[in-house]
Amino acid sequence: MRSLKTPATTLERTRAISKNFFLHIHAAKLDPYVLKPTFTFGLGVVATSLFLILITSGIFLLFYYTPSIERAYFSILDITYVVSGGRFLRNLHRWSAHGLVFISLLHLARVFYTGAYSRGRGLVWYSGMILLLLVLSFSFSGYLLPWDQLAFWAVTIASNIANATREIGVPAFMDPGRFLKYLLLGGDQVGQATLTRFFLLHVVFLPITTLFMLGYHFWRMRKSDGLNTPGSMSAATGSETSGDPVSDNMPNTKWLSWPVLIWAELSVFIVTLALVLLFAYLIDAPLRAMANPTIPENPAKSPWYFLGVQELVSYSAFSGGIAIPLLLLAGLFLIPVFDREDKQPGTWFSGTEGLRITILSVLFALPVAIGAILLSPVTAPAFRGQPLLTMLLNPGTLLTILYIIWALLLGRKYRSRRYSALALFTVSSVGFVVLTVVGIWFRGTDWQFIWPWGL
Amino acid sequence: MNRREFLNRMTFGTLISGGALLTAAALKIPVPQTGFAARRYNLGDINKYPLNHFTFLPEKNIYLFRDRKRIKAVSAICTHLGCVLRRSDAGFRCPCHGSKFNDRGAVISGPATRDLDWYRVQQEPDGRIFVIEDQTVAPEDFLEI
Repeated sequence: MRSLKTPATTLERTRAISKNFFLHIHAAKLDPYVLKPTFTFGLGVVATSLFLILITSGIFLLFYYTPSIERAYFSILDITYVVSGGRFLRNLHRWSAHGLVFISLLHLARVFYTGAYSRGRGLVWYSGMILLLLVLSFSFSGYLLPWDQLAFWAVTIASNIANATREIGVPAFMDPGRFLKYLLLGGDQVGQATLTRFFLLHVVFLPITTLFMLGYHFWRMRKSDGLNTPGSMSAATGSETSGDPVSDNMPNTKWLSWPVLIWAELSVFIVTLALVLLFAYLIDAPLRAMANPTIPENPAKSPWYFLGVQELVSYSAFSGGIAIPLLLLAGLFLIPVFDREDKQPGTWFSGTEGLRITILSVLFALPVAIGAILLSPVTAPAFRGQPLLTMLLNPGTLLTILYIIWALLLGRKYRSRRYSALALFTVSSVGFVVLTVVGIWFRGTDWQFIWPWGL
Repeated sequence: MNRREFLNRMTFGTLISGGALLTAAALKIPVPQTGFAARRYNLGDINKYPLNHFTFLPEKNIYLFRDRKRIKAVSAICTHLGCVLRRSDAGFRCPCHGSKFNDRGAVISGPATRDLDWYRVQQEPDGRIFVIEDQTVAPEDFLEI
């Protein structure tokens, strides 16, 4: 019963952290700045909480779900209407999944804007980017499983996007897009083999990979002495501490992680849990008609977080579905390589100058994005029958080029790569949000423009 | 070469060549050896398809056009990203990304960049009429009957 006693002395509190299997992922001491709610908004903890909720609810759904194209849809109906508490569990799983995508994106933005990737924390950033890709893969593989209309057409379209590499004339035997398409589909169209593969991905491969990557993400944070705060003392390569919390020479201004940090994290977890439970209780997860390989819905829309890409793809399959998303991902991955200035880490926007640049970038990106999208009814018929022009000259590529020029100009003016990165990240995010909003609310039948209020 | 060197080389040689072979196999296994079946459909009694009209054949994802003397068949799969096209007043439209095609299957508006495929329609000596998806033809190539 020794472990139940509340630790009283500094030594006992340090030991409580370092000896406990679950707590030792935290440093024994922390900079009190970390606990400032407006510094992190607890987004990393929220994301982890949602992941735990997803694993738990997912295990229960597995009791009844059947991955067969004849049975899958009806097993979801069973879960919804027959299984005790099944509808609630499915709602919980679905809303936590949407929440995890949303929170992961916010977490990415928070980490970027507070410069948390600097001072030798590159590996935390890279593992975080891989986790983001894993979260998106989870969502993508997860929405095939109910085998409804959304599932069938989203995966059909996505696999053809991968295969859009043929547009640039790659020979079939060495075409990575074609390989990926056949790897995912297990054939030339979506069928039983596809469902089996996505099921395998969703419940075996991705959970194992994510758990390992999450462990690595936490361990790298731990080795970097926790979050990147303005007062953080670790040098660019100084992630090597002896690992012994008592002998580590820490400034006296630090607090002990036990109990303050642990309780703070627990309360974030509880609030998260309460919110998704409330959501799951109040709002039912949608289920469309059963998959019909001959008639797509009109309009056939993917989930909200892919609607930005769908909007881009409606300009050109290759540049919108492959080139621009890959460019965006590569840009995000390389931020710690591009910006090594360590300009005021742990401070939002690296100070007031950075904030000014961010606001300017929003003001630039917003009208440019809307203008480019309004060009689409002009460019689409104009370049008909000219594959190369359609690929190179469309609203998506136009936006990309203007945004890159903007970031380069600002970087040059301020002679700072951090400010250039701030500008590029901001304009890209604004572009992404505008495309997504247009995809959600301003596209109707046959993917034509509509007013969301139905004028 | 002494014994230690020999064993070292054997160990790493086995690991590297075995690893390479297994990787190659692992990349090969998930990609199916899909042999594509010859895609020929017997249309059956053609009088069941209305005259001067594009009829959608749901199982095959093609539109069949017939008038008094001629038959032709066009693919209903969008050349952009594979959605099934719906019939509109003056052609075909994609519900997923908004591409438009005219009655000849030509692109009127992107994102699609390639015209629709027209399939060979062929009459056998015994009178049965087949659509042959493996052979594409020009939009003017009707089967005269």
